[in-house]
Amino acid sequence: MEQPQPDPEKPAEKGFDQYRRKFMAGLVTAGAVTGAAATGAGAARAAWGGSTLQDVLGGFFQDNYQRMSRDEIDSALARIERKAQRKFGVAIHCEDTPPLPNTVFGYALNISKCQGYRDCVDACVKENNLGRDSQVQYIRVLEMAKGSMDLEKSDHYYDPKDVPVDGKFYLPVQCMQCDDAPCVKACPVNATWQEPDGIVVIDYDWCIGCRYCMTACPYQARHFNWTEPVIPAAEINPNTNYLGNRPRPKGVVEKCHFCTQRTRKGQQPACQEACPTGARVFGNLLDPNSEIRYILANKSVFRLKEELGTEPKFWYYTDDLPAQS
Amino acid sequence: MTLIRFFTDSLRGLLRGSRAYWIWLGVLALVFCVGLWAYSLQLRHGLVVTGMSDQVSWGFYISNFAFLVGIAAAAVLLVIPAYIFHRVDVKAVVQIGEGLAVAAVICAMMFVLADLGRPERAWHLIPFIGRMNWPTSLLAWDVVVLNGYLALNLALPMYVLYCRYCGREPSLKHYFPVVVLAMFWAVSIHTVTAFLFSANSARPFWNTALLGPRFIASAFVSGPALIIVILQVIRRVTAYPVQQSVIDMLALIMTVALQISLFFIIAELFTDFYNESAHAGSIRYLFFGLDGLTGLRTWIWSAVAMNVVAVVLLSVHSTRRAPVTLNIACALAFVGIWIEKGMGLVVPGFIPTPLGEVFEYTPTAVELLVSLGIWAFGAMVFTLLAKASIAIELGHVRAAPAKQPAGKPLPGAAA
Amino acid sequence: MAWALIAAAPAAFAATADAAAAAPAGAASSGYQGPMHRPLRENQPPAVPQPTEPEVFSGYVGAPAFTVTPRKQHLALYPCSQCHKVLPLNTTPRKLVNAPHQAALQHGKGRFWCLDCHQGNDRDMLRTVGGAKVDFDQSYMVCGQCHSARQRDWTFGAHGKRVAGWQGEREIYACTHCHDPHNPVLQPRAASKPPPLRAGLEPMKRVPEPHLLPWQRTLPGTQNGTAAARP
Repeated sequence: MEQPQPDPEKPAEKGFDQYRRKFMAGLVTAGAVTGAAATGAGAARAAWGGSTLQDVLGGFFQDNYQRMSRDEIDSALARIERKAQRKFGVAIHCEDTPPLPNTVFGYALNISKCQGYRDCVDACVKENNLGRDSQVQYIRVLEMAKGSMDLEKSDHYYDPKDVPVDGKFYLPVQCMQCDDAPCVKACPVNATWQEPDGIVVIDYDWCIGCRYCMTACPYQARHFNWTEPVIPAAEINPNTNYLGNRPRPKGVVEKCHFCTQRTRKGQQPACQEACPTGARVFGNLLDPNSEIRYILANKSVFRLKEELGTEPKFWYYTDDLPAQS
Repeated sequence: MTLIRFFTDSLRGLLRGSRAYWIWLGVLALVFCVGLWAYSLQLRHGLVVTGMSDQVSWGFYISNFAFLVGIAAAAVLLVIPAYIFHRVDVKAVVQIGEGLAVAAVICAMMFVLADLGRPERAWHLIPFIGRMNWPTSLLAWDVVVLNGYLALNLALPMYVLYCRYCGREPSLKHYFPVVVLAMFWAVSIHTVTAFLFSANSARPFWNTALLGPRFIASAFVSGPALIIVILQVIRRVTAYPVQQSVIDMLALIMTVALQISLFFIIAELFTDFYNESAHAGSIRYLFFGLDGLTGLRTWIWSAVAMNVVAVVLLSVHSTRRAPVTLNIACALAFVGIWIEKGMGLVVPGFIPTPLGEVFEYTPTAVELLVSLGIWAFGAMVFTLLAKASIAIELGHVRAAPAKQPAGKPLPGAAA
Repeated sequence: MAWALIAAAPAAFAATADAAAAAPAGAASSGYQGPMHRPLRENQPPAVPQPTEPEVFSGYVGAPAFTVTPRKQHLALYPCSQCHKVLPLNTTPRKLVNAPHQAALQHGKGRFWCLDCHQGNDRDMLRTVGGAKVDFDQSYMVCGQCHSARQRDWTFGAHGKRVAGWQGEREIYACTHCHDPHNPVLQPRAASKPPPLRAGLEPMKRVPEPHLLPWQRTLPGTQNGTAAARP
């Protein structure tokens, strides 16, 4: 295994970082050589939960995403693809899609329109390779009684024959991609951070699963893989990216990431695509002509728990009509 | 080297024990092995074998962690009288306190490790090699201060015991700065652990300035309670001199701390219930139940009852001095604080969730077995450390056993 | 003079108010006449006729460019002139019989009928109230006559659904893509299943406390919250 080349786009490394990179690479090489000798060179035998020893060691010594060189990221992507092949029998494609320049994403949701169908929840589960049996659903739709914004009186598990129910309105909640995120501050190992395009992302291969970020989040937006996620092979979304919907292991935290695998390529997030009523509006907050900017300037908007100072980038608005026609 | 012989001689000292000693160690080792087996289940299936959920994402493990950090911090209650106030009677037993601190800190860190979803990635917490989010993350702070405290409480007694082993007096000039550092560090470990909880503005039950003082006050109850019992056991099974004045001092500290602790609880209850807002949902769930779910109500009221009985027994001079009632008070206070600071603090912080959902938590058998195993391991560590230090202090383990020990004899020690 | 009349109006109302509300005998008189309603427009005929040019709609200022998903391919019976070339024109508002399409309009509650939106002598086009012709793919110009505020929202993105990507020129659904113009009220439909619990955990048996609103609460000493029975 050759020495990984430093990424020319990243700032020049200080002395210690170079030593650490060489040290880690050396450990992986030593482990891989030992492993190859032990198991027979090149034999991709299913062991250690379906990975070869080389992949296990490479994964174990893998660095934090923000410190990895281009080569290291590429080997990590290849490892993810191989692991998915072994686990699901499906060839997936894992990329490292960079953020778009001059872009900060924002989301607006029209609660006059949301009917509570939960189409967004289903689309998200399928697009982001969420475990079907696990508790992890990035979006949770709350059924609220009209006349009150009291979340404590909401029903998370509404199951009427038809929606919308008389006298109720619906409030979908997901990660707010806060600009001053308490989860980013809480993480002891910097496994979660805010990207330049405003999305708070998680490095699933660095997260140690301490769940401190989950206690810090005021929106219950972060979810933990209590068990190994189960995805039917026929339903896997093969277009994945590292900081987004690549298959996750058990024991790590995950959350909505505004579908980085889609939005960083100009597509809409899966929830917006799926919503039948057009209640969801997604766009670039830095573009003064965007729909979301119009909504923020012309509609009655509010954010959840704004008094906590988290600066969420998810607004709710209603069908208040503008003054001028 | 003398240092190596220090360790080997101490180890040999550990192998000399009564039947009771070996039975005690054997039982602890057995419980630890059962805990290890239960943990292997957790490693294999994931944390789904526990009772935790997205709604209540910290449970029995972190409850015990918070409680044990308090026990560790309470060692400072022996260090301060011994070294700052020069109480000779306390100085004789300060190594026991430091041994308890080491065992408690190791236990606490093991609980955190048991709670991790990916424990093999714990190396990510090592500075420089991993990527530690210090000083922003309170959990990173906790890792730093707990490991530092462990190092301090290993270094300090080791220095003193090594000096005694070599037959010379430890130099005050050398270890006094470390003592002062350890004093402040002890308070800081528990303050950082309190800040770990109180930093979360998403959790109004914890987001109070009073949490740090509550933690320190309750630590100064549960720590001395345990030390008092341990000292009485040591006095009975070894020839180690444990003065009654030490126990009296600890009992007095415990009394005042428990009174303050109960006052803090009254302050919390008043502030939350006088004008009850949505922020009082957690404390309402804890004391009265919420939406018909009353899982922790019996727990907390029994803890309150235990603490009240304990504070009465301790506040009355005669019952505080009588060994039977003192021990009853210690047991009640220890268990009461364990309930109130453990499950009674960690779990209600999650109920109701920030989105208003009420979802209860019950620890599973796997969690209980793993926790018992970790407690047993801590008890083992403490037993071994205490036995080694007692052996050295009593002069049974010396670098040159033929010579007389050059140091001053301990007050009340058998020659 | 007009303002003096308006100012005098509340005084006239005040004069009819309960005598008990007047200042007690012996007190100094106050100029306060009661709350004044300031009208939003002058309710007087203009002194001189004010002919001005009519305002014409020519799009919204600052609206980003957009394309609308075409509708014609979704219209089963288009082009309508296939049949209506030979059918006689009957401008009497009525319920249709034997039509292969909508017989009666479930929109507007009788305020208008088919030929108010459909062009009578050119069935492949729609029409505005003023008589201008509108293509089926620009049907929003017809809807926007009554629902103008909604049309403004739709033009700028606060209403309706954007398809394709979030950047570049907007491609948006036409009004009729979601709203059936002949029966626009959306019917309730089934929702997806509630969120699952973590594996191995049971649902909570919650008994939520009923949240009583003021008209549901019973005030002490009354019946059913009304003051009528208060002694």
